[in-house]
Amino acid sequence: MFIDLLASLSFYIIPFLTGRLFVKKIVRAWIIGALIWFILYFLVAGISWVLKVNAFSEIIRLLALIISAVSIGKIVFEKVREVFKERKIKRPNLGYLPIFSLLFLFTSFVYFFIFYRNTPYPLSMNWDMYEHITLSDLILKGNLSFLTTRITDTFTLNSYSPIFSILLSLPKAVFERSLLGIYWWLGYWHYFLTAIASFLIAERVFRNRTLSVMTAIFSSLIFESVVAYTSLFLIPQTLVALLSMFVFWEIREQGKWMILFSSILIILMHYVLGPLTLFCIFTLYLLPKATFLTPKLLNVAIFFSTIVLLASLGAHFIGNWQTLSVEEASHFNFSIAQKWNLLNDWYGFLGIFGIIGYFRILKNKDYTSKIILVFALILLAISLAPLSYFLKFYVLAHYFITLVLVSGLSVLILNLPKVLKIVSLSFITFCLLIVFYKNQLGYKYPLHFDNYSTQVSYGEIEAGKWIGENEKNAMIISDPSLQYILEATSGVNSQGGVYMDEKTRQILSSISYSMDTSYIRNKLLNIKDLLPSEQKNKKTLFVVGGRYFAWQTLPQNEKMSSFYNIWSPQKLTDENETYVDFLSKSTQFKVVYRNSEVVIFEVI
Amino acid sequence: MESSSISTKGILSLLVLLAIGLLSLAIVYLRLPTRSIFIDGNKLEASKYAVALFDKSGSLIFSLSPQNDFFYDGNARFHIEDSLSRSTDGGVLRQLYGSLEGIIFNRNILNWNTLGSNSRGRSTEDYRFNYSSNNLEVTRTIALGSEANDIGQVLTICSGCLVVDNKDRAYFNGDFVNQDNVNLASRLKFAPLIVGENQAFPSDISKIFIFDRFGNLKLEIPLSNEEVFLQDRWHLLEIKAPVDRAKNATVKENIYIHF
Repeated sequence: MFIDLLASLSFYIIPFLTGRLFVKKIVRAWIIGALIWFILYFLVAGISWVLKVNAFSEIIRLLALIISAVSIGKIVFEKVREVFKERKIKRPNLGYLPIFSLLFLFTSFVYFFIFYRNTPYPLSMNWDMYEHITLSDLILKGNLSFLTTRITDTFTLNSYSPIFSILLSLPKAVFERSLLGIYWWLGYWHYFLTAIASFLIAERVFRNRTLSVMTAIFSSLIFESVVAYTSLFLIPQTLVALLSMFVFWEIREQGKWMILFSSILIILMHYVLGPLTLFCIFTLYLLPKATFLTPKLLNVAIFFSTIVLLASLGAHFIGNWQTLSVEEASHFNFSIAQKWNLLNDWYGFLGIFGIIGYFRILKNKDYTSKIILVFALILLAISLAPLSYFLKFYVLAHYFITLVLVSGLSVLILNLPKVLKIVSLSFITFCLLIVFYKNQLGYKYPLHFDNYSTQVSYGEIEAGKWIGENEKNAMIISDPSLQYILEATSGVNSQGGVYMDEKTRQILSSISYSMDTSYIRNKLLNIKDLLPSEQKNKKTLFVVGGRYFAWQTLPQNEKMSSFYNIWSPQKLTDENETYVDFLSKSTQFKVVYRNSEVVIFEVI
Repeated sequence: MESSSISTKGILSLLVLLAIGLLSLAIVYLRLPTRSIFIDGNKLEASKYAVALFDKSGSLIFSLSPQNDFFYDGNARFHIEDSLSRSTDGGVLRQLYGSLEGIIFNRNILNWNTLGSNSRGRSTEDYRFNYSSNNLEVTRTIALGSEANDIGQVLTICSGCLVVDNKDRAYFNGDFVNQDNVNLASRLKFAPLIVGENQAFPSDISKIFIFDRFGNLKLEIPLSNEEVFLQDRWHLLEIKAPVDRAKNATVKENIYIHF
């Protein structure tokens, strides 16, 4: 656990140390470092391919260690030189340290004491992380391509480059440990950093320490429990949003080159969210330089943004906006009533601060606040548009809306004496904490297993570990959820993981009621990976677990959809055991591993 | 300079902040009422008329309802609620208290508040379920139109389940002996004991066990000075606890659950 804690920090430290060789500022160094690693991975993969060397992971490890050592050496050298030059040791400037410590305590309390209280190490509630773990594992095996769909058929869309998984693979390469435990810690660091980013942005906007701290608290306690997941889960979309906040924070000091590097990284990290983020970055970068800008003009922009938001809401009542033919997409196009309910779950009635903040910003003359409000309105309009997946854009809206909310709050605390100010802010924090508590309970509702809130069980992790250690060259076949988790925990391939294609789903569904083992065997052996490189003859492992049987009881249309999954682990029931006995008595299926949740058969 | 005294604007701001905060709490509890909790992955769920515990496969383990619970006035027995007109999660304040217990003590609490009536008038029965380490503590707070001297806490147990005491005796009602249950009792080496519907179990017992029809132990209920009755026909197990004669009473029952 402690080593995984260190390893999780290396997700941030290694790119930082790499970029630190060229620039001193933390955020800029991380951005440059991340881009350098992206290039380095492709270089190493290319060279390894030309020289026919099969030691990708080892080379990356060596490079990471050398670069980090050189960078640390450089930092130490600079510090020593500084001391000699000035002939005295400078008193360290504590700067934001006390505030960051406070936020560390607060976020640790919320994350570990409330959200992850019943999710002990290394269990998890981040469903998306398994595909990134799978991708990282494959990348470390030297299986690198610019298109994620060419690395594994677990990715069916190229909505980002592999840069996120490349960065994720660095801790694994250096520490040679499973990413599952590392990810457990990464979730918290991401949460902490969203609070820091919100604080820093608020410092620029409000220039008021109390309001900045309140922004960080609001940001930590507003959890978009559907689609966006801004603060509590580390995935590419949430990292892009976080990164852009740090870029905004330093935007006035950034040169053109740095803006370019940031833009490249943001685009590589997410092709859909990236362009919108860049629009915000460029607007913030260029607008303050525009001489024609007046508060009046910005108020006109606010007015038009409001119209856009109203139009976006109004569009729900006109026609059918279901543009994507993908079945899953229809489940991510929410009605206006559903969105209203979601906003209530996330904010309670505290969203009213947004309306107060709107009028406050409209009235005052501060350029930055007005631009923030325009962003908040436009991003809200886009997020709430009646189009599939658009709620994803809320990940970016989260930060701007929080600023507008706190701006509204500031109006109400303005006239209060210090003591009452503290009491009021504590009361609002308490209310928000309760809203968060209830909201996160709703998210956890389908994720119960034993006394845990989790999407994976110890039994499944053990099974995955066993496959990884004993059956490296096999192919896993199970229900979508279980094979998705086992693929990530074992590093052994499956057909599509949770994004299993329809043909495989039909094969699995067809064997549901069959009591003919030869038929089952032949059907299972017909399942092939979508990537030609993975289609060679491999040992087939048929994994049946509580999840598999639960999946088989779903209606046919749900079995054919990647939207419906068995989200939490399930134990094998007596009825399931009867089926397991039936298979194990045949000559075509041999039990090679079993525990209370999972039985692994080798298909002979 | 910040003034230390509070202005009219300040008072107004305070009131608005208070209203916003309270409205937030109200919205969140109205929008997301706690109607169910998970205990070891099994669901304890409140519906309009009862609270029921279901196992992972969705089978009923037991249920509770004020329409089954009794109060005793002398020797006369009455249902606490003959008709149940309304049931809620206990209101915002109770919910808030439950949330705080959840945050601070990681408690898993379900509140269920019912309003109904019986032949003596209006009555309310308030249930609080608190689960920790296999023990489901059920607290019933009852307000009646008349005074009571005993409260009959009734559990509707699973169909085909077997009621056994700590002396390995399996209980049946004479008129409704189910042959399957008798076979199950003999298979599990319990001695069958016939009791009438209104006849209390022997007073020398300290525990009641409920086994399902596969012979798996499901529930364990420790007794102190309560009397126990069985109505096999309706799968009802009554644990009658004495209370101080009053219109309001609170009784506690511990149910140890074996999953």
